[in-house]
Amino acid sequence: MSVADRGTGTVDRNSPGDRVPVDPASIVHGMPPGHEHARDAALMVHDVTVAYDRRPVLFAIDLDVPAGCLCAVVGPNGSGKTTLLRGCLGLVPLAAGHVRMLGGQRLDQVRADVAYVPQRESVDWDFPVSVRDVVRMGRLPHRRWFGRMTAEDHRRVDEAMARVEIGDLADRQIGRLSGGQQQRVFLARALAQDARLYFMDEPFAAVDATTERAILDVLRDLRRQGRTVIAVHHDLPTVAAFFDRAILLNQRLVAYGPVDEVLTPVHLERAYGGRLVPLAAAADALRTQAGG
Amino acid sequence: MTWAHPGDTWIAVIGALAAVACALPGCFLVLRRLAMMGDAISHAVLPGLAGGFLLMLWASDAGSIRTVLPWIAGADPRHPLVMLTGAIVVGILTAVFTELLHERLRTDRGAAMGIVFTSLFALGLIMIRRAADDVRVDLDPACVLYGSLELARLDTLHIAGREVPRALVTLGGVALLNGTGTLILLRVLRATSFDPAFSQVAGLRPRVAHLLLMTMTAVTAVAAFEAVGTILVVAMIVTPAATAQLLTRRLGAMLIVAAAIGIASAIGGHWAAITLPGVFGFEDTVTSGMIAVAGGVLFALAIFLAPRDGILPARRRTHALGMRILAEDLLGMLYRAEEAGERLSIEIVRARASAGLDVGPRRVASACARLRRRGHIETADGMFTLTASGRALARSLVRAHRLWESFLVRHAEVPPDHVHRTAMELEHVTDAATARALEDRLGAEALDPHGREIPG
Repeated sequence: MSVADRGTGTVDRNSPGDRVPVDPASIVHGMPPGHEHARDAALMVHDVTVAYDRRPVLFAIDLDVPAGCLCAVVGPNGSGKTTLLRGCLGLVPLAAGHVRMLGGQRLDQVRADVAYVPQRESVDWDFPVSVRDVVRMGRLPHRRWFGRMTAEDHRRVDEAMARVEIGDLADRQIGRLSGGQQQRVFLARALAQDARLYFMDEPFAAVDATTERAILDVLRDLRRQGRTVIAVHHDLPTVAAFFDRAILLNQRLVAYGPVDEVLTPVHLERAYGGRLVPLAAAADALRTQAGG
Repeated sequence: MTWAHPGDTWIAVIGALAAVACALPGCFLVLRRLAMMGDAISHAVLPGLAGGFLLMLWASDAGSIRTVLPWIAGADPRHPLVMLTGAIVVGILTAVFTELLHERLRTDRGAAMGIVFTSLFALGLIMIRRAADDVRVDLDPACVLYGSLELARLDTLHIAGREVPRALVTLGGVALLNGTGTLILLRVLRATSFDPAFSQVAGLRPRVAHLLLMTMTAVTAVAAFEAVGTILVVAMIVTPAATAQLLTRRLGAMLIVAAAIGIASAIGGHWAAITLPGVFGFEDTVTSGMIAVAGGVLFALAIFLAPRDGILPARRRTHALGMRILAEDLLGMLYRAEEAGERLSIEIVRARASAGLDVGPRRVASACARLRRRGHIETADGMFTLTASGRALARSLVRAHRLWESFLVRHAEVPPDHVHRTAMELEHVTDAATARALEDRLGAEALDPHGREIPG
């Protein structure tokens, strides 16, 4: 890939000359090469490769996520989970391939409809802003630089805070919140945006039980409303309970589809190698549980 | 020396305007952890001035350019507008080069700034030598580094029949520009500074916002260097913003407080510059230096006294908490003595506190004084007795203590001889509602695990 591409902010960058050769056999449960993408998919990832300098971190990822589902992105550390999200959102340039959203559109055309919940550690929580200030940022995709916040905007901000039960913390500085409350602030910001496609980076990481239930509740609401959530998830044992579909990565797409078809011992072995025999056993147990 | 109208007032006002202009972009630089970008950009002034000058000199000589832009032949390469434009351009380039090094080659931002601005600065020094040799123009680097508020006052313009220092007009203009710019861009600068990744996905173009902030910083540094010099510009950009950060929790408040602190250090700095030399018996000192010192003093005050993060308030809060806990423990001690039918003298209280609570006589004395002040205890014939209010408070503490002991034994399966210490800590943070909830969990239980009555 050319280093000069970095940070141009577009996801639609196709340089076939640099394409990394793909071994079709490596895709255990992805799309066969040359297949047709679903026209109405909420997220269409076509043959995406991402490289940092000359070291590729994601090879030839190709999949469709249908609208109205909760989809987990799982895989070992360094498998490219966050990179897949960042690549879809134009935060890292694609060395090859392209991404389309919400029925074949480019991100630039649908920004207001695409919400991003970054990892909690990615920002400075000592920053002098209140909870309400942060949740209001969720309306920025609709207003951009100069549009005035309307009554409608304020209403959505209040609703989003109430939805995750942080309304009473609205005027508090964000550094004076617990980790779970901070995660709910990020979630409220995404809800205030009223998007159709949500990308979340580890929304369940290190939160308390109350917050976990609150987030799960919100995710299920979103699904009921026909919206789509794609979330990086670290905790294999809860994938089946929380999500409908799973993308199992280890730099390549190991498997993709309904959770119980993806998290099989064979796939987990392939993704995690020998490190994960106990986890594979756990997944097996879960599968029996889900089936029974 | 004393404050003389209007000269000293002009100096203070020019300094205050420079401080306000610098403080506003300074807040965002500090929040973005780019404080030293102010330093890097202000050092770019020197090569910028020299570069602008040499470029104009060359352009007015080159025949081909003279045919395209005929006015250039008559232009004066020493015109301030030419040199200042050069300085602003090189300032922005400093920021751009730093970002390029950081993003493309993963150079640490601090290292990238160090490389870019020292290289450009050195280049500037060489260009000044060349300009001096070629055309016998004298640009004094020291002037650029230190500036002079005292001289800036003397360079005047005539506006509406009045003589006004030129620096007052430029710095006033830049302060106004930065104020308006900050107000208009507040929402975007807040979002892109706090969470650049989210902002980019939201379509806010954080790079454009960053470039605007860098432009604002470059224009400010160029406008302020004549008055305070490129080195002290850094003090004006960083110190008030860092002080305001300690004192505020909201961005809007931080901007206002930073500007106010900038004004205060400008006025205080100039006052110190004309007063202190007399006090300490030396000749004189420069205002720009004293402004930086005043800013440093205010920052030090904030470190010690800031209500939330200050060292002294934090220590006072810890001390007050310790005092409250000790006083409550003493109340409990007196209550238990009353149950056993004893009355305690001050010596016995002191001895028991030092044995059981590990505190010295002085702390016990001040805790007793606190209880007496609040009307919780009385002394008669060297003996302590609880007043009605003291007894009520003590009863609720002992009640919480014994409820916790019962709870820990019964529901947490802690052995009865291990629960006292834990209950000692919990009794101080148990409110009435929690005590009631504990009682509900325990049912009708009159005695604690040690067989003592739980007061109702």
